[in-house]
Amino acid sequence: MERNILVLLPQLVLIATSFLVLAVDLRTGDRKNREAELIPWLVALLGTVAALVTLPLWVGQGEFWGRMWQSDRFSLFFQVLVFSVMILVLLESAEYVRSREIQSGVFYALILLAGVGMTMMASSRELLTIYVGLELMSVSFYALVGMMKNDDRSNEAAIKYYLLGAASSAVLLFGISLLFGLTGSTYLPEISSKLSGLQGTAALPVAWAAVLLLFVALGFKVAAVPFHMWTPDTYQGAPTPVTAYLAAGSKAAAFAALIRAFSLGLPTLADLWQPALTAVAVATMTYGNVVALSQTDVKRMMGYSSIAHAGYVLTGLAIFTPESLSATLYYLLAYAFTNLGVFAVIVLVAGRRGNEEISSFRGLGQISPAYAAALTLFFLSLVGIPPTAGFLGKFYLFFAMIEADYTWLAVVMVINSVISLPYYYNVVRQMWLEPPEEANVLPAGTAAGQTAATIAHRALLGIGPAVAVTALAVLLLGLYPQPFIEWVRQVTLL
Amino acid sequence: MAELAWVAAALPFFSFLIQVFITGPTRRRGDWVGIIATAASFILSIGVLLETTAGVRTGSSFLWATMGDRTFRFGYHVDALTGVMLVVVALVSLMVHLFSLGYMEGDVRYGRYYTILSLFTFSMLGLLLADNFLQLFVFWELVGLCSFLLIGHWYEEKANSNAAMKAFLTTRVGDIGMAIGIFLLYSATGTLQFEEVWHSVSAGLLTPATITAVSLLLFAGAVGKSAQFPLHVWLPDAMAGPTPVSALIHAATMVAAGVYLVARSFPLFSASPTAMYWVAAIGGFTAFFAATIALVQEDIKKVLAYSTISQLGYMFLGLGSGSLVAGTFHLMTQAFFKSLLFLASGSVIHALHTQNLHEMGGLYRRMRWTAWTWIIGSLAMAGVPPLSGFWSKDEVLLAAYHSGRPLLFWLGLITALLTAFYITRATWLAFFGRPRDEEKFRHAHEGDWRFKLPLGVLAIMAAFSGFVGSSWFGHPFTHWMETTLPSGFHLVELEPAGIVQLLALAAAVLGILLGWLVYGAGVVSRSALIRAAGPVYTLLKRKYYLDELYGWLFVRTTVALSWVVSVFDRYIVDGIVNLIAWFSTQLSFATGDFDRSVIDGAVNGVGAAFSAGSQVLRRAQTGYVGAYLLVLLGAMAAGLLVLAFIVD
Repeated sequence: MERNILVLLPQLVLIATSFLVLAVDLRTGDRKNREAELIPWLVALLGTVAALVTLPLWVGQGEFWGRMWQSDRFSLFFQVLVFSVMILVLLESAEYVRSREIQSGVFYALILLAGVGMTMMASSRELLTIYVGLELMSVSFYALVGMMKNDDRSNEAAIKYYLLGAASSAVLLFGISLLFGLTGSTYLPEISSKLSGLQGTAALPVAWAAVLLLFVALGFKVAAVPFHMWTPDTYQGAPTPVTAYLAAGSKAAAFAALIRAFSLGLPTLADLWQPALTAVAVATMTYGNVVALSQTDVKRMMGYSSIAHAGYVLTGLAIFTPESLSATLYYLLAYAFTNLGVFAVIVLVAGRRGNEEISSFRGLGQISPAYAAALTLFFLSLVGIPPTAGFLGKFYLFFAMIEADYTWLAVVMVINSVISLPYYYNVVRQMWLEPPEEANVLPAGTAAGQTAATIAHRALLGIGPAVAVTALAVLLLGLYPQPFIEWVRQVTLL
Repeated sequence: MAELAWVAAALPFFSFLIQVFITGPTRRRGDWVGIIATAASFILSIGVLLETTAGVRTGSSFLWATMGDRTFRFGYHVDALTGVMLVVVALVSLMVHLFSLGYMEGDVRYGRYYTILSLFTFSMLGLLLADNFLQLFVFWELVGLCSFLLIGHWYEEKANSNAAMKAFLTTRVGDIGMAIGIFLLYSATGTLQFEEVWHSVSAGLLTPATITAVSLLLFAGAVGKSAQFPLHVWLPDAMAGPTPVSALIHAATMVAAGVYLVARSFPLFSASPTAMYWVAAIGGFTAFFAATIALVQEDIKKVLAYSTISQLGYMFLGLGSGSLVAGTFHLMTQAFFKSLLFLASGSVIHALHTQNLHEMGGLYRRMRWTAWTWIIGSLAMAGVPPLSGFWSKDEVLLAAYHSGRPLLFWLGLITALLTAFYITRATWLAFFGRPRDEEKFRHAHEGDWRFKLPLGVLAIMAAFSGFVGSSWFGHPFTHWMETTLPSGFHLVELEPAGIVQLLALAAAVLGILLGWLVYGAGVVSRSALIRAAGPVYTLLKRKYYLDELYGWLFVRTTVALSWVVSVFDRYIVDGIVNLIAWFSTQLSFATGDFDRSVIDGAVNGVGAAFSAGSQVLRRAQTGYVGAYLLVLLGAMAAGLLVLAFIVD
């Protein structure tokens, strides 16, 4: 019940930075100076790093601000995850924002605010705080998705995401209000204890309905079938760094809320939601993988891939053992870095070639082998082939499944990872086993070629480090998993 | 030395790193880095072999990951089986490295080629050294990846990159089974360490049903990797890769990994008669089946590819018949004589720039060295004593003979005849008779030492390596294998049977004789033979139409399904919305004034809302948001309905 401003320090840093970004943008925005345009970006980046740096000041386990704010290892885990995601997203944004003439001040401020929302969702055991966090995140995203004002696809994506997101928010509120009506509380531990007193009474079906509504709303955010329909359109239309942010950040935050709400507030109803979640998880992974097979746009493909991965992650919650929850967190970690890596390369390639068709990856292995190798590594991780983060994430989930006598689910997941192979490998093949299109080969040696190379080099300022960091993370999580496993195990000792 | 076995795998890995980070970017050649590393690995492997065959078994591992209260380890294990395999892989890899110096000279992606070759050598050695199933699986995937990259080495031709895809995807089908088998094994024993698993098996902790299921699932992985029926279709296409790669990966080492898996898991497999039966049956059938296709191939590499499938079938036949020795012994000899045959064919292809047997002929006069080494390899494969293949094939047939499955024994015997026939056919078409393409013949020439040295070394191995398992020297190979089995397991000593040896020899001689009669002496005209065979010839030529069947059955249906569902995502949902609107409008016409005004009002209200929305959306040219929303709310409503039923 303590009022401790320190506990909110990272969030306050981010909010302050977002104001600063807007202010700086006002000062520099008019000038058509390319270097000046980078200032808001730099401020945002430094602010996020500062937020990350404040985390060691962690005040320890406890509840603050009238039970509205929960500080524990779980919230710490997600803050580390979200801030890392933000830094990488920012690294990927610099060149993209500049070349697409996106209003940089607003863009970076919204990225920061969305981050505040995400960490808020993970840092509370109180449903309304979670809801407010979710709204802060969502509203920021509605605007971020539509940031490319002259691009029809971006507008379309934003409107779809907004309309559907608004509906899902209404559903979430409805669910929360049902729970409040039943238990007189929005505080998850209290909800849980009150619900256990309801066993066998006529009010129980209302609780079931509330579970359903909560799942619909959060299932929408994680892109679970059948609430996934916004995903491909939105992923395709949004600015690529925002797509990366959606896939790595928004999804992780929604899973944080889902895990909190279900494992803390609704464990007494686990008999009901476990089979339902299992069914949804199986449907989600299979649907995502099958449909991804026929996509020709890489961002749309990644949209379906993210649906499939939502299915994988959901299994962890569906099994609902301490090990499976640890595995879920490990998977989220692995998935976030892998996905950010993929999108970093997409930003790079699209920046060079102008579109995101899978065929534009043709011959990348010849043009820039390092990036092609990195993307191959990321795809291996997404399929779950060793020695990558994705392999260990899947393996950890399999382990949890087998220990919990869910071996059949592990089998379904293996089959799914094989279904997913062709679409990732199609891109890998385009990169390594297809010659580059003539137009894409830079005329090296000539003066023009040199200039082109310098520009490309500058463009890589942010993306290069982002790819390097994610590739290292993917390898580290795959080869030396022990410390991270220890970490996620401590986190789930709630 | 045996404690340093892991260094043998580490060296090629360092070579890989050096080529990626040091010689690669500076565009200097990294070929000799790979050669030196592989040579060092080979020398180490010899040391390991000498110690392990003297009975040393050692290993060590470190903690890799702790999950729950279980630990997963990463380490190495060496025994005589590992020792033999290490030497085989390192030697063949070294020879292929040397051969490629000449064969790949001037290639556009020369550096990349050697880099992947190093990565492959590392992965393959790592696979052999693994002391648990998880680690084995990790390297299993890595060798598959290298194979994928090398098959598609000349990707300018679309067919080559298609072949690479096909190889990777087909083997993954088997890998599903293997992964499930590993899960099942883990859930039954709680460990993946080999030693502990064998212990659980011998202690009777596993039910027979579990042992059978796990063995068959693991075998599925082996079927994919070792190109056994029905997953053999990828290997012939994999010949799209450079020929030295075919020799290394698709003849001697990676494809034998499936055999190695079964041999390594022999304590498990041999505990299940059902699994053993299937291993033998699939192996025996594949041996025969692939040999028949090899009879009619025109492409010299395709002949060898089907021959490899067939020989791998032999190994499974040997293992499935209960003889660990037969399977692994044939694995070793086949690695030598088949890589020799592939490299010799590479020498021919390099000289002639064709793979078509019908454009060769008479090459013996131009390429003595290649011709003689090829002949040694082919005689070894045909099973002519005292060359290596004779001893190992004899061991396989002997095992089949004693296993009490006469059909499989006879299949094996007929296969021996077919093998001798098709390799004689290839030998004659390539090296003897009149040159059928004068232009190409005139340019044909023998290569330099880079070609001759590997051929010579492998020819020596193909000729003499069989002695380690021959009765003349008291079957040392059998004693080596004896030491690899955990306590509680024993090798079945096979009674030598003179009849088997006699029949095998007769099959070889008869096959060679028939081949010579048709292709050498011309006693029976080739075209008459084809006419007589008629539809059978076509069937063989089209490889039993399996490629077409799989294409329809799996590839097209999956792609079609995905397309249909994706269309559903985009458009059909919209149609449903329109349908509902239409339906409610119709309904409103059919009902009375009161209803009409109410429903119309509602419909109009919805319509107005939608049209207001569409004003906003028009520029974004979409109408589907409503549809998505409908699905979202519809799913929610459906959930509520289900709940309502549960409550009732």
